[in-house]
Amino acid sequence: MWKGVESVELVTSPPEYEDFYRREYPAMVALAAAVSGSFAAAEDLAQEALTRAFRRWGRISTYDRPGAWLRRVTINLALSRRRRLASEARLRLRLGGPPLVEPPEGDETHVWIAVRRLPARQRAAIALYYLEDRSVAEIADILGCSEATTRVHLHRGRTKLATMLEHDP
Amino acid sequence: MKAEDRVRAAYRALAERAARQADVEAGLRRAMRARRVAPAAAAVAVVVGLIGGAAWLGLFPAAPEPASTPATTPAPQTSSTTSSIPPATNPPPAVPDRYRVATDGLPDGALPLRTAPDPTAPVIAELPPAYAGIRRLGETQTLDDGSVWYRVRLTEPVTVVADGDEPIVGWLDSTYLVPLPEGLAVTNAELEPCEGGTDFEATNPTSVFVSSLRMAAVAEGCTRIVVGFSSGDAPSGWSDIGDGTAPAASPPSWRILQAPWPLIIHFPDLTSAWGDAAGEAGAYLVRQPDRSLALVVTRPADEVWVRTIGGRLVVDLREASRPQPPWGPAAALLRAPFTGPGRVEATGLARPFEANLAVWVESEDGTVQEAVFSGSPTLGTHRTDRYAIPTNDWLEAWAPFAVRVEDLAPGEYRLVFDTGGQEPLSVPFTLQRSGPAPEVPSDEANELARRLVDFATGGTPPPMADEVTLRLADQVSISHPATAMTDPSNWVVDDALFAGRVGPFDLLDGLRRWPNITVSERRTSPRCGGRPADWWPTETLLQLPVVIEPVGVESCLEWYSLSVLVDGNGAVAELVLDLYEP
Repeated sequence: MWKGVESVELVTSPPEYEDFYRREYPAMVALAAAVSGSFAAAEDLAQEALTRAFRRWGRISTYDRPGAWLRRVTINLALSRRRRLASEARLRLRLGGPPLVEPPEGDETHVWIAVRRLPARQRAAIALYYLEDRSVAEIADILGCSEATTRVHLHRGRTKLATMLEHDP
Repeated sequence: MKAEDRVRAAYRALAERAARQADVEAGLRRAMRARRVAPAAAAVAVVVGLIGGAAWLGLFPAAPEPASTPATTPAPQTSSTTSSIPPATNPPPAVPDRYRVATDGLPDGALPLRTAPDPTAPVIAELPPAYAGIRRLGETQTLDDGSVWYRVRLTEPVTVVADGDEPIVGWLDSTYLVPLPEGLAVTNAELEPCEGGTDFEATNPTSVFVSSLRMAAVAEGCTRIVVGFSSGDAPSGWSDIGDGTAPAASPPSWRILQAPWPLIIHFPDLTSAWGDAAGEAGAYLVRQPDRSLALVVTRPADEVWVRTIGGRLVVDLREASRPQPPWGPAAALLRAPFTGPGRVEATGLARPFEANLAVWVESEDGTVQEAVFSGSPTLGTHRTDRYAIPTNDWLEAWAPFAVRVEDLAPGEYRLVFDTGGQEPLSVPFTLQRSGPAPEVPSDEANELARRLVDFATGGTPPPMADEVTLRLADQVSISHPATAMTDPSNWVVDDALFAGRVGPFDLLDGLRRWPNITVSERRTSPRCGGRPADWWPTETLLQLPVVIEPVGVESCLEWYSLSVLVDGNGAVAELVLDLYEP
């Protein structure tokens, strides 16, 4: 049955959220790419994290460091994506699926191959350290662990990277 | 160049690339549009990644797939005879012409079909999420804000909200359209509804991934469910309908009289899915406790046909006259709530917004009742006026739940299930008698939990036994003397892998991050998004463990349980950390 026309509300966002978005989006894309390993998925992950921030903006805008909340969400999303991909990759291998895509050659490629061998938390800590020059205290706050644990992640991650790159110049 | 410099240079290049390529303004528009929707973008991204192959480190040239560009293109349109249905392996046409509505990002929960490519143009129809009857007619228009609009014709029934002439043709913002993958091009006209059961050409499904589920009432008293599989490999190990334990021929071709209820078709090899279930018709894709998937049909049926047709699983149901259990668009009960003295219990399936299903009881006048709640997947037993059940973090799947509400006075009530994103499911029930007071955690258990939280956040530890054992579920066990337990660093179990995560694992970490806890005492170990674990060596338990879980977590990924066993003196003797395993 045909009925009357409905109006559709236009959605707007507060200016401070727009500033927050413009400031953080590229950084979240980089962070998501570094942790998830996929630049293709990074924009979606960053978008998802910022969309979650938008839905809770009334609360998050009151935080001292909304950026820390955003980074934690981004990292969790990126790690979650990796876990799912890993299980699916196992399934595909078992069923004889298509081969995994090999990265191209290049010096940067060797670095990312080494990074992907790091455990998840180390990868996240390393990304925050190198991408954003975060202090240990800030990284601990974002990752939700102690500073001592963060130091362990950073130390082990950097040591492993150095070892792997020395053997794979 | 030193390794440190190479690493720093790689990260710097990544940041520069992100700053250069990230389309901030387009993303901001999407965020504003996604004001009220479930955060499924990541899940969609995952599936796109899965279909395209599990390519790690796509830090390389592959560009993200726009929402309106298919990972696989749909099968060509078919005629009305069943023999002409193409197998899913047919070469696809170059340009997709069939689409469904996205399941997230929809303004006000629906996609308006408009008379013109203009967001202010009159609305012809409101298309619900996952509505799949969209045929693109070829014309497109790009607006100033960058959005691309398609002129389309609707091919499936839909509620129309404006005056107009049929056939239903209008314009849609392609931002919210997803091309139908190959194998989903089943329309009502292509199959004779609810006839036969052996007349159709059956071919192997060709993927391990369930890509979509849609339903349509195709005839009076008859309902069809279609599960599409995207390109890839066939599911193996179809199991029998019923308890799922007996093997069956593959592909299935069953005609069932007096079908079991609920009807459950297991996909034991499938671990990921997306797309929508047709909740309004009582069929759901459900994440099982073992993480596999099942199609659960709660609509009672007298006769059921299950077939694979052209790579699609087709289930036709001729409806039964039996009473149907309550269901809503995002929550369904498997049976009417069970009531006992002072209590009500319900089991069902839910697809919660952000993985939390809120449950409460209200009286006839709408007053929310305070009661004792418990549930499975459980967060313990506690007195409150509403209860949040985490289901799982996979927002596109459905998850089972059970809830018990105790300590209610006799009266008329409604049990409300709020998934956060859809209309709550409200189920009336009556209690004739009051019941005994339910068990609640002892004061000692609450005090022990409080002291552990206090210690985790910098306070002093609770009393410790001479030797304290730390465990990661039933996998890892280490011991320390009591004196060592005053140092928080000794609460870390340095194990590489556990529950799909990477160590080391700090047993105090959860208490620090989620100090808002609930406490229970029980013999089984709770599990977020699954059945309670039974790995406790119950024969050795002299006392029930005190189980601590977080309250208000948004995802099972954030959930933890810390189970504490005390000795006869009330000193902590053993602590067991468990985490959700995706």
